[in-house]
Amino acid sequence: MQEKLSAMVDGEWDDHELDALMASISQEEGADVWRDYHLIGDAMNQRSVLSGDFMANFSTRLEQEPAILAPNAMRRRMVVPHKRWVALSMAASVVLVSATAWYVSSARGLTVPGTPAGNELLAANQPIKVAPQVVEEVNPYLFAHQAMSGNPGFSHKPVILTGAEAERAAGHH
Amino acid sequence: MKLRMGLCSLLLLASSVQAAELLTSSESAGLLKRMAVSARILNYSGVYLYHHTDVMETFRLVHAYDAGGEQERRESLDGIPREFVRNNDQITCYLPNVRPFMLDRRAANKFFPGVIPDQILDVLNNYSFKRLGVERVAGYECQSVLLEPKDKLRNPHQLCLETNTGLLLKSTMFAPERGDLLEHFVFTQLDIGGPIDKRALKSVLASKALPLEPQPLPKALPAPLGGASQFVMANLPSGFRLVKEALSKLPGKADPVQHFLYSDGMATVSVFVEPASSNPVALPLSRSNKTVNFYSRQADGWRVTALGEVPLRTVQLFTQAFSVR
Repeated sequence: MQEKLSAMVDGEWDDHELDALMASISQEEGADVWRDYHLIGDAMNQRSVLSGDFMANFSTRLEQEPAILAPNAMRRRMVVPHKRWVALSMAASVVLVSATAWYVSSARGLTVPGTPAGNELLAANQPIKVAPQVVEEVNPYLFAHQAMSGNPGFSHKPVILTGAEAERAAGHH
Repeated sequence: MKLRMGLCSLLLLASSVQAAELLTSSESAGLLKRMAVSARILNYSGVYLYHHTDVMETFRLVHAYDAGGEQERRESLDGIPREFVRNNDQITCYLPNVRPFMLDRRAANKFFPGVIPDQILDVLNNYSFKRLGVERVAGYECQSVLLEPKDKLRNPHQLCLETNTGLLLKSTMFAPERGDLLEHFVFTQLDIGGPIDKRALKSVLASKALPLEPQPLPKALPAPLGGASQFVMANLPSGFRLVKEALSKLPGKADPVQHFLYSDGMATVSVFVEPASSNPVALPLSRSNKTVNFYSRQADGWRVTALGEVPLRTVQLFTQAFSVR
């Protein structure tokens, strides 16, 4: 097994080996993802998606969390994603700062390399104008959806509509 | 210099020819399997970036595989500390001062980079796989592949798989027409292979979280609601199948809501059905945050709400497909 794994890391494997490897995994472990992920009759998840406690606590904490109250600034920075991603990954690889430290600071509203920060930082400090009823109306469904669908964003950031987006959506419909 | 320019244009030409290359079904299936296997059975550790709508976050991830199976820990590096600790198919989420909660197996199979499609066949039926160029991500070369939807009901996805192992290094979801980036996962730092320090897999937040909630035993659906049989689903958007059905207790709602989860292999749509009286609101209500589209409609005293990582038209069609028997 270990040999196969290292062969895989070294790129010395092909589809036949892949099949064999998959087969061996299922034999060795019995219970197994390869069969299981075809099962759509998964035991139904009857319990509540999130406990009331969880939501209450989480909402409170969210309100105290400045990063979440300032998505407008982030949005502006991310408007041109393709170019920005190049810039981001370039910055991450070139600058001799650990990626971790750099991203933490950028997420706290510090300068993202290559963007003028002044206006955006100003915007970052302004609370977003979210129509509260819209968020309240949509969020319970979003939580339930993400909890069940396993969206990788699950519980990462429950606030889904920012001020600008809520306005845009309201304007369209 | 001339020679170099010539070489460059030759390379460009080669890559543009390559860009059109369509993968066969078996190649596409092999790619999905390889992606799923490698994420599971390799040791790796790194930092990845998650970007969706307005939010950009980073996570540190440590994944180990040995005789005991899969062990994994991912922690958010921005905002509220959050931790997702995996023991094979089960992921437990820890937050400070909150009861830890577990995700079910299906949800656990959707965490980057271990994205396992619900049904490989569905993915093949709904998306064409096109081989794009070779990219470089977090210091590794990866093969980029475009999953192009065969109709307008879903979004294109682009995956970049590490050339040697097939590990997913980058995953992007685009809007169908304008090509806006909707959701993006990408490693910024990564080590594949090698031993993993067991200590790195231990939860840090577990000690700060409240005691674990006892797992309630699964109960049968209450008889009066009777599941899907109460409703007629006609003309569901093509390519989606029901993967899960449950009574979900929604935050802020007194009564549980019928919850149907559909998947086309890549994207999921939730449909919620509840008595209209339980929540008076101006309908139809339509919202979009780009990544997730939302549509709610009222008919025959019932409220039907659909949302998912698909175009608005698709969620709209879902609400129209449901009617009371």
